Amino acid sequence: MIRWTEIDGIPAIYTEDGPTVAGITFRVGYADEVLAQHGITHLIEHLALHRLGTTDYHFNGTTAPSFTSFFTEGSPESVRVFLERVCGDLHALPVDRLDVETGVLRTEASSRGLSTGSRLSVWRYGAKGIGLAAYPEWGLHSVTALDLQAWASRYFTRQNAVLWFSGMTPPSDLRLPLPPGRREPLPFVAEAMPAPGPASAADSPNALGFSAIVERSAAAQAYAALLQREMFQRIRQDAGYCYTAVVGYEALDAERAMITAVADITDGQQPAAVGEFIDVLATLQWGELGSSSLDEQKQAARTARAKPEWEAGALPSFAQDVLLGKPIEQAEQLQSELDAVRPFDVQNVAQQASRTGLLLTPQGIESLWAGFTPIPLWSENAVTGRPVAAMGDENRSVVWSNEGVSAVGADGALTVRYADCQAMLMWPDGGRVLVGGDGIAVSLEPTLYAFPPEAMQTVDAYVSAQRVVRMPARSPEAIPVPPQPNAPATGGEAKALRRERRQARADRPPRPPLGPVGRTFSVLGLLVLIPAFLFGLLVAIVLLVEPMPEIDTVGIVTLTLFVGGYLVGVTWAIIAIILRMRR
Amino acid sequence: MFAAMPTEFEPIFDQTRVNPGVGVVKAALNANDWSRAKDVFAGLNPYEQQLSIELVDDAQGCDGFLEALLSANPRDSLAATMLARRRAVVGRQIRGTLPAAQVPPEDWKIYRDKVHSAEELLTRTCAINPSFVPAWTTRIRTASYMGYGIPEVKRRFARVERYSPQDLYAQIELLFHLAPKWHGSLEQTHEFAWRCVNSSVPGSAAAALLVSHYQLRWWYSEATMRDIFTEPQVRQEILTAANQSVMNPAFTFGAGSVWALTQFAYAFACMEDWPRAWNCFARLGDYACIDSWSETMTNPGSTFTELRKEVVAHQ
Repeated sequence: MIRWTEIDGIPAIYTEDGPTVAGITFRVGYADEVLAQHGITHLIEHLALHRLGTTDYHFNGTTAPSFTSFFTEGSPESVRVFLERVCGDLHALPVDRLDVETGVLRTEASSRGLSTGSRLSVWRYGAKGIGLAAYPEWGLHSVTALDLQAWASRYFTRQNAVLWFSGMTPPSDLRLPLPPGRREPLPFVAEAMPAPGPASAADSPNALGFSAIVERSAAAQAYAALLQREMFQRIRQDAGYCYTAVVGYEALDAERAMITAVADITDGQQPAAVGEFIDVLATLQWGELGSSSLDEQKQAARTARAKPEWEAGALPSFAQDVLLGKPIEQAEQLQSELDAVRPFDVQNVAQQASRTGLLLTPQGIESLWAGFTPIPLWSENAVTGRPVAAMGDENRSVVWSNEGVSAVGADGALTVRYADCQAMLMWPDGGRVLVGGDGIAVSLEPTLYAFPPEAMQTVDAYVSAQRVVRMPARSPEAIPVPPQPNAPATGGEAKALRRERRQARADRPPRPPLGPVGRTFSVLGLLVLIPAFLFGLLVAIVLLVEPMPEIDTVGIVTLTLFVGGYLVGVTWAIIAIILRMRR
Repeated sequence: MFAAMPTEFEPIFDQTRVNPGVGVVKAALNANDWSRAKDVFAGLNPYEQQLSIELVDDAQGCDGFLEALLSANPRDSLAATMLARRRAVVGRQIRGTLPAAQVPPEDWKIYRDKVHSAEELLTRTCAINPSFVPAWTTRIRTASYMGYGIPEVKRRFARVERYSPQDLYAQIELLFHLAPKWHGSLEQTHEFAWRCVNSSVPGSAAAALLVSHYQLRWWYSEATMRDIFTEPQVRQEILTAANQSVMNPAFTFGAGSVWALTQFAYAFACMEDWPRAWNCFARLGDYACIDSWSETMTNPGSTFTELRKEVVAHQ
């Protein structure tokens, strides 16, 4: 049974069953950040755990979209020490570690690819809220100690936290050095998808993704479980179109949940995998679910909830509910709600999922035929302002104005308005990238566009200083250059070419030594060429010492060139034969 | 010996006469007797069932009737499939036969909308009634119309095979949608036709798909039909296929048998194997099935008649 208490003014939930695990969860995550400061919560989480170093007990921290948690497993005494130290360090962060920890986080980020789940988030929410999952933690480039302290003071507070314990009774004398604050509401983030109804984006390299927003309910959880079962059975087991097929159910707030389905796809089977997945969705929406499949899910949930460790495992999500103001439901209550779910209820959830669905398909695979409207890849319009044509490509231009900037091409325009600019990356070489709330980005590269000085001045003046990210210098290769069709090789390229040729010669295999026949022919050649050389030399000497008045100047020059050429040729042949014989 | 055939005759290409069950469905539909149409449909073999679905191709004005049926019973799989087929075919007629780039944008939009709406109906039908084979068979066609790729076309065919193994109509449908026109290749059509020859029940019609493959090969080549069918390798393959099908002692008149005889009659005529060609024509009598020829010939009816005349002349 999940119990409720309060420790040092902080709500605490606990169960005496399960392993001894404890944690503290705050209502703050990366969805609270704006793009220009993205990463600040994650950085605080790392710094707060730094001084704990290596211990005999296990501990960790996580930064989720809306929650940040610190937790540990060990003895009741080690739990107490951990919670006290983490809460203390959250407000005495080791800011001298700022550079080192930002480096660690960048390394962590570089080892992660862009997941299908992150792609789904950015297509749904753009560069805001949960959509930030798809972006690098650019805030780490310019975050200061003051920024960290201000963020921690706002979010890591007594009123914005929940404690949770399993396998123990919470220590009533625990005192946590957290400052007062307020319960932070979830940030409201409007969806960036322009059209109502199911939408799609053909953006994923080789995976299929689907997300839908539904009401939080036992029926929605049953739907997610049935979707997982059908997807795994039909796409993975029956057809072999994928290796992984995973469905997740995650609370967005007290009322809504997001269902996410992801599958990688075997190469060459993309259209069939998407087709089968659409049929799976249709089965759940219109098909005969059959009470047996639903009963199986109910029984599976009943079995899981009957295990003594179930409540301990569910504590972190119960803690999140407390922070969202949602009453905690005991296992029996949850099970009775699930038991009451009928196939009709699941089909209602499927209808909701169909209305709010976002389908991510592999590039080149459209799903308009299944009722999913493609999300436009371009902005509705361009700003009105002064255009600057791209160097070497007159079909592209950047338009700048006091309102925003647009990159205009033959297919459409990409527009970022300053008022909606979530981040402006700025490099020392003068390049800038503006990212709008809908995720659309416009690059301003001085190497590609001959911007007048006032263009950059205008942009810099209108973009809020809090949205500017000063990026470290780019390597020369990272700075774009305009296209130069049929351009001669640059000095560097020509050198590289010569280097390659030299290398190719060096790599050529050596000739084998001459055999007896080759050697004989070489000697015979020398016997002919040496007298020929001597004859040529004699002719040259005669030409030099004997005046020939009967031949005019042109004739003498021609004769001299001929004899000279003759001598050079014969000499080269003699040297070549000698060198070959010496190998 | 076969009875002597008249040299002048009018072959019967009408599939409602070749397959009387289909004719009964047609009559019921003409009488707006949906209940009877459904009952008769349920008793037909899969090949005849799909021919019954095909009835809507030329049934102008049936859209409203089918929509009303579907509105009254959204789970009526037969009405949904017929309506979907009707929309897909009408869409295709509007699109015409021009290359995609030359189709007027407004026609293209109508075509896409029609096919999408057909596909939506079929997706729902297959979800409601996964074993309703005519819907899956029709989805082979809509997948191609949407340019959705060979893997998806094959997936839909695999679903037909799950519920209706050796489904001749679906096999014919797949063969034509594996052709280069639909981003497939002649290698794929040949491979699939051979698979059908090898896996077919002795005496069944499926082996005649090999003839369809060579008709496709002719369509995509500069050679004449006779050049192709008189190649020694082709001749050998056709004989093997015929021995598995219409020349097999187990052959009986049943699902697709008229189509198979028509195919082999054509192949043997092109091979100038007059006795075998005559054998096929004679067994066909007045009947023939040249529906699949329209994929590769502009005037299939007269081609059939001319070939038959030539065969008769060699008797």
